[in-house]
Amino acid sequence: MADALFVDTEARPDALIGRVLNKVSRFFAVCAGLMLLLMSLMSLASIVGRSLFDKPVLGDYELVQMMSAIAVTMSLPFCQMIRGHIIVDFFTTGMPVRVNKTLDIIASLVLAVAAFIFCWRVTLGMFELQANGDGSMLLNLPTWWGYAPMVPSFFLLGCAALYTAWVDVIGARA
Amino acid sequence: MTGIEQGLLIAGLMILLLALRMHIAMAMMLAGSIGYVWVGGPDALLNYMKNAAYARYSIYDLSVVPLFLLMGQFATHGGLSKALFSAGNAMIGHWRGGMAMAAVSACAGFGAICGSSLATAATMGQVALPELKRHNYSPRMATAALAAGGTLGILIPPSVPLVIYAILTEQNIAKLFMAAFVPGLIAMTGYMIVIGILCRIDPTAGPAGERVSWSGRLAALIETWPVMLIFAVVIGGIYGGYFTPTEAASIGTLATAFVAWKSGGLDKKSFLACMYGTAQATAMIFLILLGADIMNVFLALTQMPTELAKWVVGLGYSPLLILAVIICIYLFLGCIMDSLSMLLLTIPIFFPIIMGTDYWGMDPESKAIWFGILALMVVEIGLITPPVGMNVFIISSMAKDVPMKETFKGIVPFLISDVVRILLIVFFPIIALVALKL
Repeated sequence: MADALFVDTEARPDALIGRVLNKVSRFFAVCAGLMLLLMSLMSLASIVGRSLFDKPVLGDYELVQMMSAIAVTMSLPFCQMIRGHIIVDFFTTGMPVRVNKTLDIIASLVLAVAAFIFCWRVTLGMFELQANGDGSMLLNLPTWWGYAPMVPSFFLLGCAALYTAWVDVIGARA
Repeated sequence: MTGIEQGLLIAGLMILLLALRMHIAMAMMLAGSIGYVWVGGPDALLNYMKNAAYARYSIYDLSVVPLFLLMGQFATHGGLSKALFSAGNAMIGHWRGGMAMAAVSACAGFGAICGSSLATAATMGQVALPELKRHNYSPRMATAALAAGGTLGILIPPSVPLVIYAILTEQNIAKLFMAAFVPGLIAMTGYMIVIGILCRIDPTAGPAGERVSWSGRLAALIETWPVMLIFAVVIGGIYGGYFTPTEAASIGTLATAFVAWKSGGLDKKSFLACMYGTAQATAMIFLILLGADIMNVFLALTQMPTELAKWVVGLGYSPLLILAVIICIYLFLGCIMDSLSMLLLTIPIFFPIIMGTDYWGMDPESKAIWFGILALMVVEIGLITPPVGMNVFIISSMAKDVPMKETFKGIVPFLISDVVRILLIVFFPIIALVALKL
């Protein structure tokens, strides 16, 4: 949905690897939320500074850009762990469970491959930016700082997708 | 092969992948990547992927989306829904069907600080459903009014799909929010009229409640001050140009969090639930954005959208026919897809067509805003139509004693009011533009 309603089922995966992925992805999600709160506080400081003392936070615009990019990427793995990414299930509801499970496994694997490719490409992009010293306009923040949290996030997203695929494989056999 | 053919072939592949249960984001990404490699070669794609994620996620205007999501999460924990419902009920609860109307007006009020229809339906449902049941409202009326009222969450700004529309079409977010306001109020009024008519036909569907004294009404209204203040600051601030939308959303988020904390609704557990809920919704939206980005870069390479627009405009059909076809496509897609994916998939293709066609001699900016509001209203209908009416699902999961079929039946009159409103906006664009002309 453009829209989501989160219901925490408190369901904890049995397998050790599942528990670890669950913990780490939740940790990333909370970091993302805190990053958003921090971003809000900074905007507030900038507004107060600008209206009362004629002194906005220097480079608030760039900080928002970098922080929101980080927050967004860090949210990705959690959503896959709770299978929150949306699918259209309208055309396949009538099909046997087995077919649906197989399609879900394929979908998760595609997501895993995409996430790992992104992880690889973003890493390269980060090194390039690091080498040429690209920085933001006002604060001269190195742009690669924004890329750095993306690398583990995409890696974790790939792992989460592999894990959900694996759970489906186990479930299909049982 | 021409660009149009390439574009259509890849679009067909994407729809096939969608139908086969692939994540919407991945269907766009995979089909778009295949198209990209086809047109530009693998190196171009790999090169593009180095910076695509950061470039897409660090767009300043987009940062308003996770903030509004977080604000909506805090709002659901803040006890604000109860105050809104009580106030509405104190004012009009003594009318026939008045309590259902109060629920709809409370949905509108909640929509003013929450950009999510599902959250609006769920939060208001929690507060209003037991009360409606206690006052012997018919189950059909109670559930349908709340499911329909929930769509006001997105129709009344802040509204996430409008932000996405603004970015896709390079329009001003503040202006779109203002434009959505009057149509949003008309939507609320329309739903209330529907309830009124239904209760005239069948007085047992919504019995009148007790009249509340004016001092009681005043007291109930005063209880809603946090919502009014937050809305005034956020929307007033954006409209008056005091803040950027991101700054306004930041203030709104902090204020809503403060209210939720003050009311005691924000302990550690619900705070974590807010974090997780925000992460889920953010991830869902932004993964689709990344997929749509690849798809749209490919489409732009083939020049299919502009070519297609030229072709459609060149056919010389009447503008109204073109618009009618577009609306019908949205209504159909709304049955199987969510509103945001729909907008991301179709706006790059439909927007050039609309901009190339003359509607009542509107200037380009007015036309863009008008079409944005229209598209928003049409895609939102998908939330209350079968087979996948998410709002109805949510309300049904709360009112377990009411069969979902009953709710879908009850929705029909509300759908009629939606259609009437859409026709009104099609023929009188001034409804959407009036707030901008003041």
